[in-house]
Amino acid sequence: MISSGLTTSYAPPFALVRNHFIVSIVAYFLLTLALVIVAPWMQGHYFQPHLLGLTHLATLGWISMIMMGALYQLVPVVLETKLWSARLAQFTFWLFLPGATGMIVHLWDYRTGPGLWGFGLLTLVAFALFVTNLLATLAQVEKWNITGIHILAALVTIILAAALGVALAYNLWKTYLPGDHLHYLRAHAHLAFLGWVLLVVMGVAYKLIPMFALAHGYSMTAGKWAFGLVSFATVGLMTAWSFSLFAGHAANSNRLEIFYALLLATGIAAFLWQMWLVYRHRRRKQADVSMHHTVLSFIFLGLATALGVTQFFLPVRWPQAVREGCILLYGWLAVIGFAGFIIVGQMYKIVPFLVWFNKYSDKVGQATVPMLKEMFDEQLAKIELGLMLAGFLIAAVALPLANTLLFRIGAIVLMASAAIFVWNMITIFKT
Amino acid sequence: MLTEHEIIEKLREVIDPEIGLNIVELGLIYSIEVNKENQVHVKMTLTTPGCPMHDAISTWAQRALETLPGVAKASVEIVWEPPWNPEMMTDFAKAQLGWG
Repeated sequence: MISSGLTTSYAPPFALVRNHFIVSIVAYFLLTLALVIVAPWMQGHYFQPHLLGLTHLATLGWISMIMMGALYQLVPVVLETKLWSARLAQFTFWLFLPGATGMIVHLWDYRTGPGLWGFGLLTLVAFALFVTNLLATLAQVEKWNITGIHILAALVTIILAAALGVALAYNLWKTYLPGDHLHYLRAHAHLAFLGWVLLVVMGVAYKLIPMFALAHGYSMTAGKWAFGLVSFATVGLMTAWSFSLFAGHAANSNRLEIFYALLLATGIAAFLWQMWLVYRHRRRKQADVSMHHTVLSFIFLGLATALGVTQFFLPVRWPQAVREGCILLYGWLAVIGFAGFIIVGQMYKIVPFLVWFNKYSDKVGQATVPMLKEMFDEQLAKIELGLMLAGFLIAAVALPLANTLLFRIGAIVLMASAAIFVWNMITIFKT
Repeated sequence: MLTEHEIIEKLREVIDPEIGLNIVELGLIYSIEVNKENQVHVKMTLTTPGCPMHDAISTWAQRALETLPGVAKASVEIVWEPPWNPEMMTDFAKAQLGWG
């Protein structure tokens, strides 16, 4: 797309971004494979060894890895500045990879000794270096925009979420935190997901989606409100949880918590409304496979939000298994439904774009160069989308029913879609 | 003597690799000047103001123009005024995008 750049003289070395993307793609496939294996554990309480490992494979190996690689590319280009240090970014990658891998392996087996804490610390150091690098990059920015503000807030939050994670790892080794461990775990998960994943997706979506859809002439008011509400509500939720912890209230009876959850839902609704405005004002009417993934992602974000708020009001008389299944479904909608679909969808745009510029931008005008859509099999991508949606929905139905067989069927279908996705990504990189 | 038509036809070779439409159909070309020495100067825009990708695009367009027989020198300038809007696309481009 000529409209605005993902690749310019501001961009970091291609190899840096490529390494992040390749690890993330592998992690995604391993995640779907792990889902097939853990099917019998996808019921009951979420605090289970395999599920903890699985969750960190998704959040660190897949989601955070792709976000870090994408931000190294996007921040300099979108905000027109050079990445502060590409060498530090490479070094960070080689810290983060073993740190995250070690954490995932230890959590998978629930080995909660010094090993988990050590790998957690390594991951935290890697996040700290990543944040330092990007903050130093942001310090050079002259023209700020809404994307930059989202990313700045997300950088601050990921450090807090990672630090809380390391504190939790230590607590599993030598208990020292007052109160229930799960109380902190909930704060850690929401801080990471709302403050890191959601804010980055929102900020980047405001830039990329109108660019790819050729959307023009819409107001950004809803988007600005969304940022304010989501940020404020996230801080509020953390405050409410801290308050309920030290005041000794039962977590789910805290009215402050419900208030901030509703505020958060309003903020997410504002974001979705903003995206709807972008969609309505798009000049590129024919939605491609990337846009279909993206639309589904936003639908699942809305459903996850609704279910998250509903958690406060689930009737106590409901069977415990159903209530626990609803919590798993909430996580499923957020991680696979929202984050998963948007990551897969946007990679069909970003990866061809990056590879194209790396391999062909010097050849334009001198040799025949391919179009981006020619760099992968779009028909296969459509099949991938269909399978991903089918697998996701089958597994989603299985969660509240606590049906292992149904979940495993869904996970296998999801894995088939991931295999096609990996094939398409390999095709692009080999173009 | 070079004609504007020849130059526009040459610029049609510069294609948005994602959309599959060239920069002429997208309405990105604002002006073309040719002096007596056959030096060509093109003013063009991109669809998003503040786009930092002008280096790549201008190089691409410049390279295409320099292959045109008779061109002594080519230069491409990215400008942001007036801002691009979708109405600037040709009817063909609009139809290709399923719009209009």
